[in-house]
Amino acid sequence: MLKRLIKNRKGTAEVIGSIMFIVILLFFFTNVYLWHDAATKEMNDMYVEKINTPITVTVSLNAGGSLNLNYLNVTNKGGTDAQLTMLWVDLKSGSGGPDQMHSNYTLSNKVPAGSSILILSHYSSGKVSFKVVTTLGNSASCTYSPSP
Amino acid sequence: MRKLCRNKKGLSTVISTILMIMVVMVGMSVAFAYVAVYAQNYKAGIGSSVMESLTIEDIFLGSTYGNHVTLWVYNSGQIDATINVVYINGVAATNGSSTINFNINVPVGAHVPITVQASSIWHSGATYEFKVNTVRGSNFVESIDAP
Repeated sequence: MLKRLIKNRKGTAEVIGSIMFIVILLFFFTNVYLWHDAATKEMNDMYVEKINTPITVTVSLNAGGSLNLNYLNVTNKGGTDAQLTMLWVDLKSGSGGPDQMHSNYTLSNKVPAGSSILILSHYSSGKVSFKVVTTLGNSASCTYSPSP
Repeated sequence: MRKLCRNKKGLSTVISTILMIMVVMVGMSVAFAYVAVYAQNYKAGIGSSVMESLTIEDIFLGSTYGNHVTLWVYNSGQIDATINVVYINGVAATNGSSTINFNINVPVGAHVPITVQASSIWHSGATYEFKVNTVRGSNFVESIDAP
């Protein structure tokens, strides 16, 4: 019976054709799945790096403890180096109305893990809000209000 | 040779076999092309949305309150993104020319300003939620309290 079945070659082409078609389809879908998996993994790595580079920003202090408005102190509290990309200086209204002006300054400073650096604040006058953005999308801000 | 040409026995079997092979080849080619194009489009389109990451880094409501806002968007992702629609508190905003489709390209690592027109003017003390939607379907949200 089995010998007869093996010797009977009717429909062999259809079977081989179907198998080949399924193999080709599987190749394409596997390709897409593997690509999607790699892309997701790459983005997950980026988000882990983002979580590991939280920054804070404060107005810097002179040796005597007084404020030095020319510089901002950026601290990387994470375990991975942070790359700064932009500083925003938002000039606030003295009377509590809408912001008067938002200015941006490109940054290219690197903040090593667990360290602090000083960057130019571009402060001119009045109540301002400083915001620093990193290349991974983290940001930190602080506000300075001159005493009346 | 002449006898062979005139002999028409078994001709229909040969023609039907050739026709069957042609139909199968065309059918398989169409199916193959469809799968290949689908895979390519998926990779370039919605499949790439996992690699998009936009940061709304600044929102400026203007020095006098109207209904315009300037959003600065930074692309911190792995691929270029195209901004499709901007929502303010869930309502689609226009780009100033009565259309809600912005189609603004934001290359990787670029800081791009977008001027958006809301349906109503800003009110001091109110909270506004800005949602940026890309053509691949990703959404990025940022909120501010109007000073």
